[in-house]
Amino acid sequence: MKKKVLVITGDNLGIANKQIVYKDIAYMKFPVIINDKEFKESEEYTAAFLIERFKKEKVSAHTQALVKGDLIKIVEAAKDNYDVILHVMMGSNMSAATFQMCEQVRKEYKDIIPIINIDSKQVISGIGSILLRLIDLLKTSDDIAEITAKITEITTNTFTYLCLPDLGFLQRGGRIGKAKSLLGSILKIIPVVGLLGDEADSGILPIGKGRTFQSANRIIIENIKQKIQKYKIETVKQIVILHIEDKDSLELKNLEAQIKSELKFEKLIFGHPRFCEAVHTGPGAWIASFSLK
Amino acid sequence: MAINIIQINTILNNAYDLLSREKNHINNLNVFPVPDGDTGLNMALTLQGALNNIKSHSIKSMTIQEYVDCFTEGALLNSRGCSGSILALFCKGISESIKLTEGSISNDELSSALKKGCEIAYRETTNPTEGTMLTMMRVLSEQFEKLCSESSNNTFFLIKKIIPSLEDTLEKTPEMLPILKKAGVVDSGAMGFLILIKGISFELEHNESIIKPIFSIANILIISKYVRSFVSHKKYGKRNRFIRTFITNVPLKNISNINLTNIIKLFNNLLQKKNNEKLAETIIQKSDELSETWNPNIKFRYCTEFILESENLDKTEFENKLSSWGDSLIIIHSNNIFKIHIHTNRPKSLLKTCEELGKISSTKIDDMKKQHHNLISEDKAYYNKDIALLLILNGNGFADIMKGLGTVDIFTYQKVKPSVNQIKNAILKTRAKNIIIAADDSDIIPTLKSAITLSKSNIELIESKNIIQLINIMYHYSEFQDLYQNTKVIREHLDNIKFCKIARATRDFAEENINVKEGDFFSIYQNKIFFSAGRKEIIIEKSISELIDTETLITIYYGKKENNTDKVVSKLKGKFENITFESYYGGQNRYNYYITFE
Repeated sequence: MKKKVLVITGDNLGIANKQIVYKDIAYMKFPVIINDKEFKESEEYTAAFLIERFKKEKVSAHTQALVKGDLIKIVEAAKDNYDVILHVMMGSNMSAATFQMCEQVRKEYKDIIPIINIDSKQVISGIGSILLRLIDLLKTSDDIAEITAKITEITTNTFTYLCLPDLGFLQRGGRIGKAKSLLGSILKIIPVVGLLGDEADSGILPIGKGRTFQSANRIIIENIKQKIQKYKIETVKQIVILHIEDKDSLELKNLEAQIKSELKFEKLIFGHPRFCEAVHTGPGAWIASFSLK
Repeated sequence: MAINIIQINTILNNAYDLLSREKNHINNLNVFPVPDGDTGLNMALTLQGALNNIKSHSIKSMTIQEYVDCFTEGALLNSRGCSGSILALFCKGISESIKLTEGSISNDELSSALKKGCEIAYRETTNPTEGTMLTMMRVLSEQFEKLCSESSNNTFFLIKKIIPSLEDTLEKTPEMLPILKKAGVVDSGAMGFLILIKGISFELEHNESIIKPIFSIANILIISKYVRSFVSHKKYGKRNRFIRTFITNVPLKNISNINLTNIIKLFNNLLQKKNNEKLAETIIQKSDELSETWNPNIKFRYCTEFILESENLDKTEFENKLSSWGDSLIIIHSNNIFKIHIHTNRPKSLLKTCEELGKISSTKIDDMKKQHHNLISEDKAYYNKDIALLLILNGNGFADIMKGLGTVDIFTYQKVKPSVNQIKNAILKTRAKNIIIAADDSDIIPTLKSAITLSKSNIELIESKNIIQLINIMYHYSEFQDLYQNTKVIREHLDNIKFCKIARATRDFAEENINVKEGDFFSIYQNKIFFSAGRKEIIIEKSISELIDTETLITIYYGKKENNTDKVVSKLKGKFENITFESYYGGQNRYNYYITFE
């Protein structure tokens, strides 16, 4: 009999829930603190809501780790109805607190239901991309050991690039890492930073400095082309792109055009910005994630 | 008696600490194969790389085999220099021998592993030479095997028992390797290996140094030179009383160099006997020998290392191919990864050739002539970072712009171009082992070339000609990439930004059918004057109209003689609606404006 698998994930996926076609899935919401008040994503509290408040009211915002009680509620409800739980998580180097909490829960329930925490080593659409690949795999197999081995390979072959006109948001969120070297430029630049699956332990890395959105996109394309060449990939399995404010932005249209004219790929997905993601990107940002395998 | 994984990790960390503390003493002994003074550093960096690789894992959940494999992988990928490569090969052999899933290793198993480590280190080193670290590895392996068969003591106790034999072997290295005898030292790699084993044996208190303070190579050569000069010129007069007093009072216990100790002893005898020509000749000969050994002719100048990832590459074939490029070749092979160490005179051509075979990373090119000069010189360079970018430019505004674009060292000049000495000092100030250097004016390139020959770091000169190219360098430089990768990408993109420059004529002149009157502005694009006008608003607008193509961003950098360009820019915004305009203070002397099109 086919195994019943529950997938758990956060609301920092860079894609909308409706884009995920899998019925046994539970979403956890990251708490967002705006001017000392807690919010969670809803129809009212969206990325657009936060970006507008950043622009108009100059609010300060930060995210908090997932709440243990929320996870336990989901596991309790699932333990008798499922054979296994797969939890697709944000990179452990991006939120050690969330990762530790999930590991604790896994240990507490080890004799009740197996929970496998999948460290995506990614953020935003990088996590969403890995989640979509996991769902592809679940549709074809229920061999959990094989699936987790495959998904580990996929994480090392997933690359996310973020074009962040204001790196201050990433810095305030404490996730700037080595990209600090791109801060404080007199010349207006668009810093391109990345979370690279094959160098995931390094955290967020500086990739390049674009002066225009076209040159920032060029940096992304050249970088991913190098990875494609390095790993001898013929066709990129899946690409997710999104703009934090405007899906019809010139930045995204130019990126789409460059991808279509220069890369061979199976799927190009237009993502959807989420509430908690806007905290770290700030206004004007756009993101691209590539799962090579 | 067995040792467990936690103990192994602790002793390896202690051994690394000890080696790291003593690395400069080891560096000072380095005469074979090339006196480039980096044996201690290379061994410490190799061990550091191995331990860093472990840090990303939870040790408690690892088996001994997993631990050793992980340690070895780190050592192989991070091995530096001949000494580091041989050490990594020793680890590789140990790792191949250990096939344990249990949490501890017995003395017999360790004995077999040491034997295998020794075997691989000898087998995979091209021209294995006795009197080096290899001999120490062999003695350790043989002695450990012998003691194991005699008793079943604690592993640390056994290792401690072997240390006197290793010390004896170290003392004998000058007899095995003539170049060491001539230089008056024991082998540096062998000394490094002994320090490692001493660290492992816990024989030493953590903060105690095992080597007494010694004179540097520079001091040793200077003392020897004084003695030679004194003896050859028979300067027994008043003027040289100071030198004689100095030499006779040199504390022999602080000299680790056997030959210098002998020279001073002979010198003291000579002073007592007077006019002993034969003794004087011996002193001169020994002093010359010492100096020659530490100043050899370095046949292959660059110590080159890199990792090559390649499938379907045959190691023996590859080794044959590389052997014609130089000497001291060591290739460490694991799966499809090759770690290469070679001394060659054409490192860049070699890398280019190897690029055709696979993906190259972690490149390192050390100029051993410079390292050698640093070793024997009193004026030593101490590095605190691996790579730096040094830009030589005119204009405080541009200096600030560059600083905002990343980590960079800047030397700013005004109307007078910098001197060789100023550049040499700027290079020294970076305190980086590898430096990329570029200037905003091609007239400065000869000065840079002269300064580079005087400096001790590995330096790559980018032959840039203008400030816009320097901005481009800043776009593409990354402190997280090595010298080779950085220079490659910088050179590829050096001319990416289209620009023109505007100056004001100080006299009437004509060029390319364009008449320019004194006081007029003229615009230059690709080294040709293409327009002139009396008013700056006109020349800026005309230059943009002529040159704009599909670009969307125009940036105006105004010089020292100009005020801000707000008014000009607001006019331009009205005329060119779909273009973004930005304006910055560059502060340059020569040109009133630089205009870039991106």
